[in-house]
Amino acid sequence: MHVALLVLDALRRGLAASWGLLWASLYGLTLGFILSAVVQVLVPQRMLRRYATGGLRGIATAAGFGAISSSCSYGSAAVTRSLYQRGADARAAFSFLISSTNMNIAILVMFWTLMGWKFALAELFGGAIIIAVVATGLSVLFPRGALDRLRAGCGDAGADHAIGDPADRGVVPAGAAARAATGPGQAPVAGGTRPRLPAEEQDAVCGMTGSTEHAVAYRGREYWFCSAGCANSFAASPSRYAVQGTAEAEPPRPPLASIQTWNAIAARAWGDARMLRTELIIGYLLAGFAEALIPKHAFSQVLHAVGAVPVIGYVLLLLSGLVIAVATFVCSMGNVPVARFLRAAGVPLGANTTYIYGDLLILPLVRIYRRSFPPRLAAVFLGLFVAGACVAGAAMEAVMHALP
Amino acid sequence: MSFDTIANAAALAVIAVLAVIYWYGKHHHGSQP
Repeated sequence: MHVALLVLDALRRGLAASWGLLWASLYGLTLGFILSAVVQVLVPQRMLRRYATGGLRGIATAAGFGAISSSCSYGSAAVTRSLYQRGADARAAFSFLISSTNMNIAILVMFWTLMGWKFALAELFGGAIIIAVVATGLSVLFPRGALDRLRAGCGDAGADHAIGDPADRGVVPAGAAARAATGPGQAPVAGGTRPRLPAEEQDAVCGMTGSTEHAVAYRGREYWFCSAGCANSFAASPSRYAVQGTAEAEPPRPPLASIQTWNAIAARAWGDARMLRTELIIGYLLAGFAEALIPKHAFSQVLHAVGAVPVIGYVLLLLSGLVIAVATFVCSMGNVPVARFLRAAGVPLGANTTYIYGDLLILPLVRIYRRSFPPRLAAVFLGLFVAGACVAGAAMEAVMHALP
Repeated sequence: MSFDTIANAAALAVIAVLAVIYWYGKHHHGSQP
């Protein structure tokens, strides 16, 4: 009887804590899903392709969008998924994800008020360091369009597998295509012996009128470009420009004031919420019961013991922050009070910031990554994120200690 | 009244409006735009 009462009390406390976490993040969750739906319905694919690129500008722009979006990890994961599946570069998509949960305005304000300006700045610049590590790592590990090939293999570009001729799946560079031209005024044809391919006369990169001087054959279709620069951009990552179709295939931007547009937004948000409902339920229950049943002071004691390990103690401490995040965390803003407690318990700033960065490593989100990205890309991202979080935590602790 | 309460009330109101729009579209138009 006594045990049964204890179990019931534990259940009550766990469910109450879960409800508290849900209540603390409901508006962020709602905003995230709605923003995701708006992005999917309203933002033209061409705009996403242009701005969410793998270049520095694209990554910075994605980070900027992340900073003004919802700080809820689940909502951000939904936006990131839609960005990637709409043709955004993986580095820019991950930049958005990292920024929206670590460099977000709402969470920075919360940090400033609860933890002070040092933590707020550590969160902001630490997020930028993680983005740099992840983007650089992806560029090094997936060179020469490998990210686009991964996306195609994920099913986003089913046409890759629909065409039997291997030559149609590749890109003939502009120079080679030009050399294969069969005569003046005639469109260059890949391989030189095939029949003329259907041509896209509008430059798929810049939107200007293309010419046969700068033509590329790709997947049984010719793409004309205004210059060699655009042709080379296309050749470097063709799926970004070709997979989503050409200008005439792109649907017109729906009017924001239309009830049909908002009907589509509501349907999209509902669909995303249904997709993520299992992860959400698991996440909130797990975090709620951990919050209610595991004494927090035990964390700080264990962390102090870990930090005392010779040589690698500090690295273990940083990794411990991530482990705690994986075990306890639901949404970015929910862990700020816990971080405040950890600081009061003597946990160093580096481990405390990795704890906060670790919101993107919780198991329900990892499941979402595996469903949203090619498995290899998801695994590499997670590895790079762990490395980036440790680098950011250590760097921010060093910098903040040097500040007055 | 706390910030959470106000923000969540606004979120619930938005959800309710979108639910009505979704329901209206589903039953009066039959298909998504």
